[in-house]
Amino acid sequence: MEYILNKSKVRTTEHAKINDLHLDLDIPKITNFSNFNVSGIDYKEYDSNEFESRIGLILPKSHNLDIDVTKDGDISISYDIDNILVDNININVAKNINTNITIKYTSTKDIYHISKLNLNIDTSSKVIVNYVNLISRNSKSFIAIESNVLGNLEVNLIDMGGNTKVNNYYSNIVGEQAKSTLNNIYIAKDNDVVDMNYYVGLTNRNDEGYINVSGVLDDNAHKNFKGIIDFIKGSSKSIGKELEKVTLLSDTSITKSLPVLLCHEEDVEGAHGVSTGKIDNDKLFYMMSRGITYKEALILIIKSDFDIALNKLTDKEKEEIENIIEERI
Amino acid sequence: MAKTQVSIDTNIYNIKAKDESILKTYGLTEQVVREISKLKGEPDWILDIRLKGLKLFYELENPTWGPDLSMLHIEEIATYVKPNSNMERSWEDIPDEIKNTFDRLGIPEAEKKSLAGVGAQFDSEMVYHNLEEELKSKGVIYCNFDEAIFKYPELFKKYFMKAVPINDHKYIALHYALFSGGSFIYIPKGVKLDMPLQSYFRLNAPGAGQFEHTLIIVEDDASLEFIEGCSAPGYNDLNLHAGCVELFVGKNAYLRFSTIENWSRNMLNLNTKKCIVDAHGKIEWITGSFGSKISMLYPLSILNGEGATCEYTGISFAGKGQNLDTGLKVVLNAPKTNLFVDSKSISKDGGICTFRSNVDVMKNAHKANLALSCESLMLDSESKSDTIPFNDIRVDDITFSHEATIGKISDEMIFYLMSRGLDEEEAKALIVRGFAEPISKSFPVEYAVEMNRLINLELEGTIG
Repeated sequence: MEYILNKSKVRTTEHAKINDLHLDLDIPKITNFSNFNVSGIDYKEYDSNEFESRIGLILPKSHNLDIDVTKDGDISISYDIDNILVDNININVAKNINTNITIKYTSTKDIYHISKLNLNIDTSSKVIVNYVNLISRNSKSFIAIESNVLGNLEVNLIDMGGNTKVNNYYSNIVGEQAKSTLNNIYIAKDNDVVDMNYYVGLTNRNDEGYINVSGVLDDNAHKNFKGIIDFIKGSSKSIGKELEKVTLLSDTSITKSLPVLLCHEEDVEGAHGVSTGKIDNDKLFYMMSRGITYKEALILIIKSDFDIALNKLTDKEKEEIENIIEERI
Repeated sequence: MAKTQVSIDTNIYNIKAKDESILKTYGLTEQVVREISKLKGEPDWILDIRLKGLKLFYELENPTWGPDLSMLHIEEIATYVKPNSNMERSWEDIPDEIKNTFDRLGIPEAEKKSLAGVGAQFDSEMVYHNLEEELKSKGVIYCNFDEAIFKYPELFKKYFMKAVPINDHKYIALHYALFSGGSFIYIPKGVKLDMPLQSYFRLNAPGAGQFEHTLIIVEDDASLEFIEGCSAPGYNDLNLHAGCVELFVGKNAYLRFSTIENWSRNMLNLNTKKCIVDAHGKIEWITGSFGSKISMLYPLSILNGEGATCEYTGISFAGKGQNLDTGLKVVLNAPKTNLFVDSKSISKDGGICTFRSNVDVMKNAHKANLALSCESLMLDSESKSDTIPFNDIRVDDITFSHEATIGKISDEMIFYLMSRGLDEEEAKALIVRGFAEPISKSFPVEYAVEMNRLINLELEGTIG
């Protein structure tokens, strides 16, 4: 069945073929799910008869978790998926909380993962979410993250699993002096499809919103990036920036970008930057002249680009991801 | 300290010449299309194009992006307005009412001082076209577009509609149904013009449309600077501009296409411009967009030859009630092609400026070099400034960078200027002119002056 997904809030010419993602999907029947683990916090688990996210998938069943964070500390949530998981996690973080949340998805078989993460961050809280997708190579992943931010939120979306990665990030920065940052890294190869549709709305004075994406494209992979920084009236003295870096390892991959800045407030600082190209030959030459092989140098440079999203992980978690990066490259 | 007053003749663009047109048609019907074609005595193949455009206009939809165009009702537009003048080679032969308009716009004076040739269109028809005799002897052609159909049929057929196809979008279909006037320019191989040619398009009649077609061929090793001026007086009725520009730049050839557009605030400006550039050729777009109610204008450059270059330098200034959606499209379709973009926009009093770009880097564009920079300046928080760039890259060994910034006039700058004796409003005005300076410097000096005058006009009442 053909689905039209991840519709861009700002439309451009249809000729560009980036406004919407057209995908043929054969979504399996959704079954009850229990193979998950939560540590460091109490939670409420329940099934729901409806699921809908900004990606545009409407499904009849989901596995839900509600989590209220009222104390500092680390939280870990992990899912191991056997066939299909449609999950909805709602996390409410109270005022003045400092927390680090890691959510990890794995699978050994090729599966469907369709998820929605809702984050409500209250004032003066500092929250880091490491969202790690490590599902199997030929799986399909649909990740929607929504946030209302009064405090400071950093989401690190480490998107290593699957051959179809459809991501949606929608962040409303509603507090004064609030901050929302998305750091997203990915690797796509073969005939992979990556579609990213990201929105950060700044609504109040002195807000900060950042979208940082770094990815590697190889073979015939196809990537769409749709990013919007929206300075809404009232967001004076706010800063909003989006930066996309694409490293191309093949001349048959396709990279499309629509990095949008919308501005309805005069006293703001907005910027976007796109950088696309091969690995810097000077960097490669420098490393190889010091005895490092081409492949080792390539991996080192990519790991360095990916550090934006990996540096908040524990050493053990980081090592696991870096091993996967080496495998994929 | 006494405040410096900038003296501006605000009336020159708003001169309303008495409407002495001798024929007007309204709307778009087969009867209208046939009437225009018959009046011009065109061959059947041109009529067939017009009829195809008519059919496509009603089949195609408005764009699903950009400003809302639903206010346009073609049946209310005077789609052909024949002025009370023939095509003349001397200003003295043009009726006073029309000549006075161009006099006040400074066109005959500019022709004497700094132009190699001038074309002037009033409503739907060219009323004046002239070219230096020396250039004629070198084989340069600069004439009324309609005239070229008959005088240069082979050249005309070779290039007409080859850059801009009839089914590109709804308003180019409309253009091909109704095209009238415009300029035809041919620069032979190796001929380099020292002074620019200028065509000026004046839409005088209220509620009218203008559909001129400009076709420029710059052969190998030749060079040309062309200036396009557009203006209209303000009326309450909606006016429409759906012109078309087709440009062909040969090997090692150079074309600078400069536009200063100051349509009135009741104008929908839906112009289409395309350029095809051969190896090591260069197209430079210099654009100043000041007028119109809505503009949707994105000149397309197709870089087909190795080492071809496109440079785009543009400024938009949107005030109250204006929605200027402008930018560019580029297809890099050969190795070592180059694209350099420097775009600036200023919005104030609720005006909306949108920069929209569409860059396609094709598979064979190895070692292409692209650098895009967009800067927006907001003068108040009632206005909007959006940047919507799209990039599609199909090759790995390119250098590509795109930067955009949005900002206000910095308090530090104002403080510095005020500490040197300027008041706040003068300081702001100076900063705005400084922001626009890299663009105005790209125009010939007379036109840079005109652009600065337009900026002063826009700032008047708000700043100083």
